[in-house]
Amino acid sequence: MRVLLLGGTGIVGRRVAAELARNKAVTDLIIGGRNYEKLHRATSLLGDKARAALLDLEDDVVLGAACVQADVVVNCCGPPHLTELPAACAAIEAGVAYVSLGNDYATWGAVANFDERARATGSTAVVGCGLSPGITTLLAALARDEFDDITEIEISLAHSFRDLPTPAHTAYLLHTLGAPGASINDHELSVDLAGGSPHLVYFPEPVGWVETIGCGHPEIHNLRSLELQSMSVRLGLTERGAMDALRALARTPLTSTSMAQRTLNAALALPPRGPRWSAARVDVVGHRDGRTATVSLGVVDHLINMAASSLTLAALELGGREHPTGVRSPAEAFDSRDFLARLGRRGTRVARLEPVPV
Amino acid sequence: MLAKLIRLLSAALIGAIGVWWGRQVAHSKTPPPQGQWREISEAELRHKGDNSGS
Repeated sequence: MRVLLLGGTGIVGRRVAAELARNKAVTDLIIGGRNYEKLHRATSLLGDKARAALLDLEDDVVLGAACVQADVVVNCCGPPHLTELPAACAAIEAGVAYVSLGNDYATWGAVANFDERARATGSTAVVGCGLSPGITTLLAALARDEFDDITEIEISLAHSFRDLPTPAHTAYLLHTLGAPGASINDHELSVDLAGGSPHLVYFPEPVGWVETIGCGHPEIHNLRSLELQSMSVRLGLTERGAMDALRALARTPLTSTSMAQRTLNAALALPPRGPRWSAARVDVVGHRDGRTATVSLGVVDHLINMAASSLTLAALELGGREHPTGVRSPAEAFDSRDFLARLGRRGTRVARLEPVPV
Repeated sequence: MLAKLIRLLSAALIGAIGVWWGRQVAHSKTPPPQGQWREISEAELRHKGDNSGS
């Protein structure tokens, strides 16, 4: 299997590169990026399989030529609202499989417009295969198996900023909390600015209670076919001081990523700081044997581990066997049980919320 | 003029600290756990029944 890894010199990209280089199924690992020195350093640590390719996402000719040399294109570049579309389009045009972190609501919708083109070229594009969307979509699919039909899904995310204090993570947080996001209310899709009243959500330990606010995320696209009565996504940081600063910055016009990064780093000093772990929780409401029931599933691990493991597993799965072509959600492309079980083996804890007996 | 500006900035700073402190007090007590998170084992995940452990 030949893999082209875009953004392989970043924190998540380096972890994905190391995991792919260790895997016997991967015969060639091409790491693409703009900085030759960083590329050279990254490939020199990965053995004979790895080689560097100097390329820019804005140069579609070079990017297309690199995609043709691969069976799977893995995109770790961030932030997705700036980098997803050119990479996805190049892989689709080259007719090769594509997988990315893809956690931007609007960009997911833009890539989904290339579904027919992907079917025509024979490409399978799984956009959004990190923690959210990705693991959260698979948790929703897992919970759905327990119902006759489902009516509501609420997805909640707790990120630790100390877990991944990178400019790409900062840019993602600013964009997600500053841009309009969608939710489903009474079967209708509504698009509003992220925010609303803060809401405490109980995540798997050691994360526990975290204050979250509403935001737009691609799961709304991923799971919309379920004809839900309501669906929403919420996001919070385990460091409350940083979350307060982030909410203020996201609403301030002309906030730059570097300024936000400095402010968030300073705000990390404010108590209380939650644990340096990240988590996600998916609540699904539906009907089972004529009665209404709720299932709450969650995952907890370090953010980098969840993102990198999920992306690596998806790349190996896509390169390993034939998949239906088109732009797919992780739940359509992969077996949720098998995928989550394999994530569990890599250290991500999958859990279920059970009532405490009185 | 300068004294007025200093008074204004001081009031804004004290206000911001007050809001932050108020939030600290308001959120100093987190609710009790909503339930118990039980880890789903690999065997349970691979089993095609439900994941309730029952």
